Amino acid sequence: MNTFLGIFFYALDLQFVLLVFAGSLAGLFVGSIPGLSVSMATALLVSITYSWQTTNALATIMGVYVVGVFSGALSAILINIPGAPSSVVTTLDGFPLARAGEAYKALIYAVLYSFIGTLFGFLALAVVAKPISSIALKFTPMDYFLLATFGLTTVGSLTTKHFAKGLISACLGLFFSMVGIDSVMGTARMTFGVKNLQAGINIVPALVGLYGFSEVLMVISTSLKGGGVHSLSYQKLQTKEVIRHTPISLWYATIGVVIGALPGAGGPVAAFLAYSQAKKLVKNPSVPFGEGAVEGIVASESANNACIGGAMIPMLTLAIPGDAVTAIILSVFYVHGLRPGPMFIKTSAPMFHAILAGGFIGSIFLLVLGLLVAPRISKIIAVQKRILLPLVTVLCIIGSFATNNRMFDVYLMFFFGVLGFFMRRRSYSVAPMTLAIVLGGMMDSNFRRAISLASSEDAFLVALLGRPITLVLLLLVIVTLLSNSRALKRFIR
Amino acid sequence: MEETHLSRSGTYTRVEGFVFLLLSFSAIVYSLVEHQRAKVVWQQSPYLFPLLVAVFLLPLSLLLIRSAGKENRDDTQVLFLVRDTTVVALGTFAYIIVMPYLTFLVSTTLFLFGLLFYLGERRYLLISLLSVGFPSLMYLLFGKLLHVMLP
Repeated sequence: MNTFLGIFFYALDLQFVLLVFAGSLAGLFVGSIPGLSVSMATALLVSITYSWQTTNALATIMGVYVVGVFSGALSAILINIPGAPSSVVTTLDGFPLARAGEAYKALIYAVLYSFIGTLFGFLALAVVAKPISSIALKFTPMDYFLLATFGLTTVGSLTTKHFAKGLISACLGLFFSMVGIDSVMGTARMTFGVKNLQAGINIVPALVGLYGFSEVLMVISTSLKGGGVHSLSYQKLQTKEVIRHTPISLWYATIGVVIGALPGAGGPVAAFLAYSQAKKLVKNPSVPFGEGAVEGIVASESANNACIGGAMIPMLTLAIPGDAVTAIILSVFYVHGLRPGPMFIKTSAPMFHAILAGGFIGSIFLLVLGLLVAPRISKIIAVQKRILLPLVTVLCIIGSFATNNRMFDVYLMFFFGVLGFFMRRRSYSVAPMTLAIVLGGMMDSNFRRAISLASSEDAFLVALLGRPITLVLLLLVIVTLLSNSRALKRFIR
Repeated sequence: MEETHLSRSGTYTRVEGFVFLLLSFSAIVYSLVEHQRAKVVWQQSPYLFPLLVAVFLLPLSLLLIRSAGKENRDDTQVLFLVRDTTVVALGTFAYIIVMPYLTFLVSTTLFLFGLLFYLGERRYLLISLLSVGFPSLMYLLFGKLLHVMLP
């Protein structure tokens, strides 16, 4: 009850609603333009909203996140290029529909089922977060360390074709997270005499570099050319026909929430799983799947948008982000001096309510902007990259400078941008590195605390790993490591 | 302007493997040496976790070296516009370096003008508007509204 009152309180706050709207509007453009990503926009927003009130920053970021994930479907439908990775599956049926002159129909289905998916995801977050927090209260420092390790290994396995490369990316991120004054002993670590590094590597320039500048270089390194845009003309659709997929879309949304809650899996995996479910469950689609079946759009969009709420669950209750954007949102909390975890919902209830309110209000703006504005922005989707990329580069520089008003952060951003570019070129996903930079400090302190506590007991190993939760988490890490790499298995044998 | 870069992926992977192996060894040595200097027990040592990560990185680097040359061909033949990427990266680097001396407004105007032209934009009015208008707008927005004093 308190949760819903809290959400209602934010819904009445005009400034909060306007900030969600501003974020939603930005998300609509950012998500729909290939070459710009939601991760990039949120990373830039962290630096811009650095000095804002936390709730205002969250309102804007939630707007960008919710509408940005949906609007990837716009370019997926109109130009067959997904604006966001989670919209890849939408291209399978969305683009054939657009080619057949039914782009408006595809868009309406995408809007409606993205809305349903988002609402479902945030409802799940509101209902499930508290029970998970109470379980998490029983976690020991070792459990937290293993949970974060599990997160890193799953992200490493799901975001790259070469598992070892995913883990190497995570290791590099952990090294970066250790630079600076150690929080336990106060010793300068890995600073190599550079004074600016004593405060550690600021997460904002690292994120802006890894997601913003590296993306600019990636686009330039491949092609600046864009495809043709299909026209979007109004079509009369029967409401009954459009909403009849609602019951099954809730099943796809459930898949989205579960997949979203797994660290690293995220929208693309959820959309693929939901799509394969749709192929099994829908016996008589409007046209065969892959040739413009609206059932395919329903599955993809319900699932990938429900992932947003799902990804928030481990981030808020365990401080383990579900995807890159939630890793960035986690850094917003850190930047504002807040610590997500089992006590977060109790101790920082207004922040929890702000996230939920941002999600719910954002989903309403998704519906409004999707129905009213999205059909009119097809020309913007085709904005030339040669104009867009220089402006994004300048934004990356301003964004990284704005965090601490110092040029050193701009140099860091450039370093991470170039590093991220080479990593992507060589198939090293940057997601494990991002997660590791965010989680590294927590892993380090919890690991040392666990070892210290266990070493004071007679049976060291039993004290360290003897609890059922710890054993389960340890098993999860081992299973993830073994199941993901034949090469690793061969190596261990 | 397009150059297709058929990467010698096997060689690159091997080189990467050796770089990570070197990093792993260096981090192990660094952690051990610095731990000795810190004179604390391992349980509280700031170098325990770096050592753990470095040890974990060791077999991964060996795996990478072993897997060199076994990548899918799909992964290795990727279009890479080497010149464009290098020019943009170096141009951005130069822009960052000169910014404190030329100020944000002047350096950004020059950078945008140069980059827009290099990337193929030939509408001079648009280039001029973007190169002057965008930095001015950002300067006002950040300086006046967000109180970020750009160089």
